[in-house]
Amino acid sequence: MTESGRRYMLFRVCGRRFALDVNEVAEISELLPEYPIPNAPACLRGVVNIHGRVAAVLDLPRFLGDVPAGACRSLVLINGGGSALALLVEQMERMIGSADITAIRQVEDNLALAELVLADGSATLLDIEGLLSSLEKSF
Amino acid sequence: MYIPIGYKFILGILLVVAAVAFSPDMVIALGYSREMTSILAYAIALTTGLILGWFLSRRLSRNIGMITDSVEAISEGDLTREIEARSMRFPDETTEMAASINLMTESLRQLVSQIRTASGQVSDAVNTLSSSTLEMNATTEEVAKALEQISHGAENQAEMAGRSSVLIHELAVSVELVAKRAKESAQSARDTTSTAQQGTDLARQTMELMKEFLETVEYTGQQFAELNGKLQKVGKIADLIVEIARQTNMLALNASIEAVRAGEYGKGFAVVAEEVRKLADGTSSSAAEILDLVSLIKEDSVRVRDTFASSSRQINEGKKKLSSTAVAFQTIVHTVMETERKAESIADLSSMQIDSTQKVVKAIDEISKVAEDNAAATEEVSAATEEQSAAMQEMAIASRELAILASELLKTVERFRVPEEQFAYHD
Repeated sequence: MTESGRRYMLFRVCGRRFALDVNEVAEISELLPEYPIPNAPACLRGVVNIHGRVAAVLDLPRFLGDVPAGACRSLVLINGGGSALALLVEQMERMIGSADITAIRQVEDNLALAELVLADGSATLLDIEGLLSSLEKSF
Repeated sequence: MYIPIGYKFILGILLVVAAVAFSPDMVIALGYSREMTSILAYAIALTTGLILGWFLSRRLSRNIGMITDSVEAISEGDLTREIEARSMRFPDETTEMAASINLMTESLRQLVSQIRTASGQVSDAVNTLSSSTLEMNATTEEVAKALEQISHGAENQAEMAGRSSVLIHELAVSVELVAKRAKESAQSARDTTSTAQQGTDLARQTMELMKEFLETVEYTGQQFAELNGKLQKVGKIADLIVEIARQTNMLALNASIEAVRAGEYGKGFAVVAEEVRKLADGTSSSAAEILDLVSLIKEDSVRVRDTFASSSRQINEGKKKLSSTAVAFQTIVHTVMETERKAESIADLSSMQIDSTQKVVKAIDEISKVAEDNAAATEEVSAATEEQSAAMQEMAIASRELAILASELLKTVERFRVPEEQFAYHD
């Protein structure tokens, strides 16, 4: 599931730490003006224009915990095909490499690929495909 | 016609001699014999002599008998009788003697009556004197007791006067101590006045210092407010630094993403981006620490500001209280001056009291002396009263003896009987 030389982006949502494969991350951005999407689920707050790319903003705290987003200050633009998705996260942490991972645990969760054990704690490696599937199911 | 008894005898003798001389001639004339004539003449002369003798001696014997009876009755104490001498044609010495005896009897009656009356009066007077003497004796004894009490009272008075003198002496000493203490109090009051004046000056100086301190505090507060404003600016700058660091971090992350995307060519750039991110992270941490420090400083400044405000309030309160203290000191000064004046007045009054006390001591000493004299005089009077009591007792004895004498006298004169109408005294 993880390969040597892969790098992961760590961020925090609802007090938990998550990780994304850097290859799935297109850009990290400040909060931008959002434009609401009619008849969209509540977790989709709207669309934003990130350097010319239109992306739907997924309120990740609400989507994960069904709680309103707190002090979210960053958007993580996900690499995708035609449509782009921006994850609303609370705090960006840092980028880690495979060497920083001491162990990888398997988890039974549609939204997670694995549990990365680090020196200063652990992080849930998000499954973007599963996330999108789950998001599509919510419509 | 008064004819003494002797003349009557001479006249009778002359008549007998005349009868003897003239009877023979008369008998001769009768014609009897010589012898008969002689016998008749002698018989006539004898008869004449006997008749004259009987005539002359009858009255005389009767009067003398009456006188003798009267004198015997008088000698027996009977003074009731009187010689009732018959009236005589020719009174003689017996008539006068009877009258004299009657007069003597009357005089004796009056004397006995007077003696009886006087004896009764003496007896009554003696009884009265005896009772008076007894009363006087009782009164004298009461007087003696009263004098004894007076003497005892005088002794007590002298003793009390002595004690009073000692007490007054002690009082004088106490008053002297009071005067001394009053002077010391006046001196203390003066010292207190000076101290209170110094306290007033100190309070005024302290007020000025507190005013300066308050101004300093206010200035410090202003400076602190300025410092607080500057701290807020520091906080804003730190916020800005944090934001810049965050953005730098984000840029570093994006750079890292781009470096990863560049593959092998981007490794060096990734290292640089990571270093930048670390710097941004460190900057953010430092800025966060700055913010924490600013926050702590703000909290401290709030506390300091509150402390300053509290101190200002306390200082203002202190100023008010100090002002009240200054006023109180002024009041103390006035009060202590009044106290000083009163203490001096007490000292003056105490001095006057000392003089008065000394006079009282002198007067009490004189009273003590007078009381002692009174005690001595009372003892003398008591002795005199005892002598008087003894004299009264002697007088009572003499009265009883006098009463006995009066009784004996009365008993003696009771031997003489007098008519009741002449005994005028009745018990």
